[in-house]
Amino acid sequence: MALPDPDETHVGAAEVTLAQGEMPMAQTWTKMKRSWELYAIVLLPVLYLIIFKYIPMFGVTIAFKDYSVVKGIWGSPWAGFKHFESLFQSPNFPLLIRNTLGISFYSLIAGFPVPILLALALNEVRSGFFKRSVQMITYAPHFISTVVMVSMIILMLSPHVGIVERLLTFAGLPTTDFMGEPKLFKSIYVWSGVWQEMGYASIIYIAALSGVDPALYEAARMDGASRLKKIVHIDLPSLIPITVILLILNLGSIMGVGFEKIYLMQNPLNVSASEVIATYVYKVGLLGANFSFSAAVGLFNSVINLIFLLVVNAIVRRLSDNSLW
Amino acid sequence: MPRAQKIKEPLGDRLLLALIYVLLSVVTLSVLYPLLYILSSSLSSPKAVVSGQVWLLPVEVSLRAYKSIFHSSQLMLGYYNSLVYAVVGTLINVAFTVAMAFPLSQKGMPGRKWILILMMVTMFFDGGLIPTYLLVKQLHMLDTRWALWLPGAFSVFQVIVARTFFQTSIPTELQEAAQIDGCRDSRYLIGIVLPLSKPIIAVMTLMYAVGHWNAYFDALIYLRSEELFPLQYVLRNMLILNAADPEMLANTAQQLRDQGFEQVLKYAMIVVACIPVLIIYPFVQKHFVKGVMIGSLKG
Amino acid sequence: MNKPRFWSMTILLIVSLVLSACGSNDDSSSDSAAASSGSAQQGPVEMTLFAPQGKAPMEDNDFTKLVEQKFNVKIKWDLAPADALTDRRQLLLASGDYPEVFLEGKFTNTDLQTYGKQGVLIPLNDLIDKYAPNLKALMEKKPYLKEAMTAPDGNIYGIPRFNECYHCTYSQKFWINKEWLDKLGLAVPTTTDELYTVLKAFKTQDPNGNGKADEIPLTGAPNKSVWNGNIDAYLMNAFVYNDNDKYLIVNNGKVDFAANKPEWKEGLAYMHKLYSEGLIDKASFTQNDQAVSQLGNKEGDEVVGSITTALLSYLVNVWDDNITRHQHWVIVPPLKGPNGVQLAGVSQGLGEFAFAITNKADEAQQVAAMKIVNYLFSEEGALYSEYGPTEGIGWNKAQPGEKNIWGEQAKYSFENLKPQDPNVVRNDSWSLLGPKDMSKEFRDLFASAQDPLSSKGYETRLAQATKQYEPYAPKEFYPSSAWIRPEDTDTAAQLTTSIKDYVQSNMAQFIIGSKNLDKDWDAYVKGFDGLNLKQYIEIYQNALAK
Repeated sequence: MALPDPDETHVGAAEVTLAQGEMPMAQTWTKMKRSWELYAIVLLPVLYLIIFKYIPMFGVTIAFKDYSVVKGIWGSPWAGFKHFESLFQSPNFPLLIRNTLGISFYSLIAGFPVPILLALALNEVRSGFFKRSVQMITYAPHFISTVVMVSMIILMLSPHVGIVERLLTFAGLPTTDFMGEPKLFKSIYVWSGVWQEMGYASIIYIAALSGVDPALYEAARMDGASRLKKIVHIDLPSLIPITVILLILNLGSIMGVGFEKIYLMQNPLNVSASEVIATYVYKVGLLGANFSFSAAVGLFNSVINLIFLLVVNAIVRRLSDNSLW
Repeated sequence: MPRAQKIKEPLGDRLLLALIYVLLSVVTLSVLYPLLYILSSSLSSPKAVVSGQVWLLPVEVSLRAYKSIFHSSQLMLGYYNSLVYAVVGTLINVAFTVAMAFPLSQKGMPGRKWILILMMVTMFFDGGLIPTYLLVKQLHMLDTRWALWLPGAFSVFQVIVARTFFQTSIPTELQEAAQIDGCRDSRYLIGIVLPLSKPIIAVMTLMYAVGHWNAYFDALIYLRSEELFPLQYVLRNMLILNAADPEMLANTAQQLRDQGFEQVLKYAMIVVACIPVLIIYPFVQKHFVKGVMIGSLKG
Repeated sequence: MNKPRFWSMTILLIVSLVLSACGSNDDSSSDSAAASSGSAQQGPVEMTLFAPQGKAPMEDNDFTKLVEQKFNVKIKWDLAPADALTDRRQLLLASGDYPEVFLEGKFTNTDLQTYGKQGVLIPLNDLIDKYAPNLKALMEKKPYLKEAMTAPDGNIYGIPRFNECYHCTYSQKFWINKEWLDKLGLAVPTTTDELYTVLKAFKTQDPNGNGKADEIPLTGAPNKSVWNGNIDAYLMNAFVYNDNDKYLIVNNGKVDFAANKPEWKEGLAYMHKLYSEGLIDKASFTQNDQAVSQLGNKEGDEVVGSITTALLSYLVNVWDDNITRHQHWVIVPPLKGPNGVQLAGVSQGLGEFAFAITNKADEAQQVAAMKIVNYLFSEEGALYSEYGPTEGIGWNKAQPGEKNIWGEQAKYSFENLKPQDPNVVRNDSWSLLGPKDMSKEFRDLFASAQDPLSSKGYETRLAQATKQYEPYAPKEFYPSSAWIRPEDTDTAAQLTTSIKDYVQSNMAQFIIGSKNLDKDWDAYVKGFDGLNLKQYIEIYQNALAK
């Protein structure tokens, strides 16, 4: 039985083209023999995966047990879905999911296009000095630790002493206690994240753009295309494959709203908008170290992520050629 | 070949370019301000920082925080270690990533779908910290440099990005030409794909190197001996030890009681950790140069 | 290479790795136990201590060397970064890779109970009886210490660093700007009504004299960044007892919940009134310690009238003799509410336990470790371990006339020490590390500058301020070191988190007015049913019954 050719865009169809008189099995074997070098190359990474990822994977069972240090992972008693139930039954659970997904999607919608636009804009710039400076400056915030970043945000947005309030008052505009408005929480969180990461994230797109054949640009110029047209018809399409893949991957980690930044930004006024799964688990964990509970939450997140990935990938596959598989 | 004649840029194009310059400048300034704030605060006296006098430029310039950081012998060791981890680690990372991504990008390889799935599953299902720690222990890698190099040998994310790049940026004509010439996969990889993939390899190198440089968590888990501690580890420790404990006020030595010193120290640490990387960036950036493709189709 | 052979070797390698990884867990524990029991006869007892990393190598530390010599031990250090100590400790315990002794483990009593039950930490009762008479005496002297150390099953699994920080006991404080009071001819307020008048005057009568209404009568900050900086930590205690933690009150031994009572509502109404008239700083719910400090230390005219917090130093600089702004700030004792309630928030108990012995320690190691603990609970041991063993460098004998925070003759002081080269890191003590006696009696041996308003007299100032709160402690309060029953710990963790969040976020909303006390109060109270309040109270009640 031949393996389906992964490049077929038909879902599930195992179309095999038979050469004259050859049996499918033999054909695959020929292919494999021809590719022996590829197998050799890929061997080391695959080995790594097996050793460092698959062997420890039995640890996933912690989520279904009552983990005891002394008994170890194998010896701890089974607890079934107990921890999952306790997560689902916690009174905040709908709020946690709503906030987690809300923040994630907002981050994606706001944060995804910005690095692309930045890369496209930089691509147009002729002056090497300007280009390099912009790149270097925008990529520096990536190195600011979360703790310092959040304390700066809180300080800048503080009433009385924050620079934002001073600027607004100077301009005669109304001010408010920004960090105290639940409605503003997600925006502050997302846009400060965009600010911090856009430079670093744009690097991949800049690299992709640098691979575009300059002959295409010249041809477009000869044809009298405007700059805008060039961007739309040459640059953008060259970014599509990588953009689609990154989008899919991002959606496949939708539940991964990290806890540190949110925890630091929380205060009693914005808790309704800022409590996510990760912060809840952290607070519970502070009071009673329960490995199984956090493992269960982690597993739950992973499953949701996986579902998202599969669904999105399937959608993308129907629409274009650029899917994950 | 047509004469090399300068085609005048239409007005619309020039306006767009101007707009782009303006937007980029605005963005850069908005990023620059907080960065300057950090730099200035790190060079100011604690008193000035604490009373909100520092806006843009340093106030009451003082190098105390930097002196305090650089006096630590542990710090230099930290720099050295992070350098070692970054260099060797990145080499391993890039090698593994290319070794994984290249075969996955080759259409003719049977079974590549399964390998892809094998890899993607690990993105979601993770045994967790405890089994991984036990494994590292079993392999006698605890408290050695290998613990920082092997468990994170490559990232699935980077493999997928690289694979996409290999698939889309190498023109099929080139591939066919190589096949017709009877070129073996390994030669194809080394002779054609890699040179053409300089941009993505540069990006990969940068991202992995930065990851190693900022690394803290893995060191936390696996390392015990002081001579192996990386930079971030040393810095964070320094910060804690310089913070005053409200329960021990009377006995806290004078320099610790200086309010705001902890804040200035935090800012100085960011600068100290970040400068080396920023210096390296222009060298890496050289490789995002256009025109890599020129000449590849001819000859 | 021959291809089939290549593949079979690979498979063999993989299989052997899998097998070896699976059979792992038990080896490590038996290994180290075997190794250590061998060394028990002669020569120093070797043991591994878990502790946070210091500024300089612990092996070279003067106090380490003293201990090693005195008790004939050889210490191997298992160090963790100071800010991730609990993470590392959890990992070590979870993976079975832990040392014989935790010198500084920062265990909560829940941790002790969990690991004690699993047999990872051994009971210390007998060891204390036999080898730690100093500790035993202290436990007799301070019953609450003994209670806090003893788990419900009667065993002691951990020993704390017994630090009786006096000003920490009554730390829900309130400070006011006396210069402004004097300027307006007002006295320090003693009741909630008087406070209202004072704050109103601050706001409308321009006490800083600059012609602008820029005064902030009362400010605060979330407890997360400023210790007891949330305004209700102080203000609510004029209506009903607020422990600013679990919101529990105790009457005749019966535990009840404070945040759903009519008195709580009255307190909220009062704070809402103040807020709506602009007397409470909007930023009190969101700012951080840096913002507070910038507010208070602002150049030019002062703008803050009062602040709720444990430490005045958050607001104004108290460490510099050239900066005198802090000198006209005074402490305000608890206010009397409309119903005569006048309470001070109490925090007495042990937050964490430093020392524990694991089941990997053999007898020689256990005895040696306990003897060291005993030394740390002696005066000399505590002194040397905290400040170094050398007189003149970390500490000095006090001169006659040098007094402690109560004005009594001190025994030790920090004056006239040999000047230190700031570039050389001192490595002579186990400062803030491990168990030791830092009880009130010990701390009172040290001199403190007598002038509370001087830069060195801050602790004296705090002590004097705290003394004014002492008379108002509630008759009964829930002990912070109560042990939750082992079967309740998981539930307790989840319930406490949800209830605390609920109380705090609703309180903020009622105070600023986004929720209305007349319309929304009943729904708020009813909301506690959904959070299992009944069970919450039961759990904490059961924790009290020993």
